[in-house]
Amino acid sequence: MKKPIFLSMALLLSLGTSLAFAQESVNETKDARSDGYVRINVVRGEIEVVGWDKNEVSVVGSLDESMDEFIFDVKGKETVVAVKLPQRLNSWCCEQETSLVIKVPKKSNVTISLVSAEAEVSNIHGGLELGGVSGELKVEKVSDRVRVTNISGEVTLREVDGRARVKTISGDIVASEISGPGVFSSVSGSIVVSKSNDELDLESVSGDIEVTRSMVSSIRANSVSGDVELDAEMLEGASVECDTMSGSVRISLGGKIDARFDVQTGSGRIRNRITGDKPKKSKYVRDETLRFSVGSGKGEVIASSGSGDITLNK
Amino acid sequence: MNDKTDQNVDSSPGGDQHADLSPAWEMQLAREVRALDREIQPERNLWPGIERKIEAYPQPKNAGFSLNWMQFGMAASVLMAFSALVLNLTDFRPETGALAFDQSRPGTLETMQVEYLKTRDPLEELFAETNRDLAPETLEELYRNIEIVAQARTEIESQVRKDPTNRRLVEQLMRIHERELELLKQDFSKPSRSM
Repeated sequence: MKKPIFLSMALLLSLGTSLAFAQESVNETKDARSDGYVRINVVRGEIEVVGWDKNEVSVVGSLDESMDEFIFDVKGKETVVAVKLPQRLNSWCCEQETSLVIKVPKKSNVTISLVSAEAEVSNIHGGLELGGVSGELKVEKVSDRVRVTNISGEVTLREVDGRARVKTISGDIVASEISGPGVFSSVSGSIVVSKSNDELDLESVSGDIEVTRSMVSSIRANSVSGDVELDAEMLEGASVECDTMSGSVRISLGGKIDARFDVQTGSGRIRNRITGDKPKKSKYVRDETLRFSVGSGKGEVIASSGSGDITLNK
Repeated sequence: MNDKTDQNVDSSPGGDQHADLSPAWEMQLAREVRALDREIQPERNLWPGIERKIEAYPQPKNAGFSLNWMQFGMAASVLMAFSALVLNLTDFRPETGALAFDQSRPGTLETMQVEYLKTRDPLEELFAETNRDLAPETLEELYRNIEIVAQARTEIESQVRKDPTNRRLVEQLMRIHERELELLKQDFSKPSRSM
């Protein structure tokens, strides 16, 4: 008689334990303001945040296996969605992580804070602030102010209408179709921008910088040891400034060129394929300089490198 | 006597007439020259004629200019010496503004580095304490990036040392300092936005 009681107790205990550590699902929807603030906090896993036409916030998916608390709260204009983990986890290995699809009113101002989670955000038109550490972050079809910071994960922006600011350390930045001023900086990650039609301010320490198929009014691209490559069309009176200490600079200008050029390299070489002007070589040091003007010289192209080559193409 | 001399001069051969000079004419001329007095006393009315000629052509006021030049020269020297002193003391550089290191003071960058590290190093200890509960792979990733930033800082510092007047580099050094400190201050165990 004692044996069956012991067995059933062990069975109940194991069932309880497995229930306690099973991954929870969530499928909740709450009314929210159309122009409210949505705050999302997730430590690990993956999330997809999509703007929609409804005045509701919907959260669907599975929650972290080690979750301490799940918060989905709407108070006035503010909505909070958070998956909290215990302060100290016994193990970070081999557990089911959060995986959520969160839908918010598209005019919401959204703030997302992640650690090692990946995020895809789209159709948000009230401003976005997104921060992570190692996960890949993708942002698409957003307007108003967009600010993304990441440490080592790649950041991808597409179809941004508004001021965009991205900062990474080793993560690459890939941005395309940016219709607003863009400020992108990385330490060792590369920065690749295409189809931009506004001001660009790009800075890296050792990462390469590349701008392609863009129409710009102002570009400032500088790197310490990375290469700078620009393939763009200058708007009237545009300013292009490319600067690197030990990398090379390659500038290819399309369309009608109307600018003054001021090019200088310390110990590299200058190749001018825009006009027949030849660089001047210094008599005593190895530097080369080239100054010339095309058209009425309304715009300005300044390129310099400490030891790299500079190539100007048409 | 003068008239005679003038006559002789006037009648002297010149230009194309040189070719027509004959020895007889030369001997005649030599006799007349010998017959002249050895010294000629200027006539009393010679100086008024010279004065009239001088008045006809205005002369530069050499004496006045010379005096002013000396004064201006001395004033300029004093001004230049004073400017050099001021420039030296204030380390003013018109092209680079305030954001440049003084090459004549080799310790400036080093002093800045020491001061910076005094701020940075305690933050690194704090970072280790604050973020110790993060997932090992996340923590490893963070430390890898802290190392990347530190290397980038060293790289910019070495470039600044080569070209201390490059304002862009100095600004970049300041930004990398700022970024490194922000990174080290952050508590990644509590997700937040700023970096």
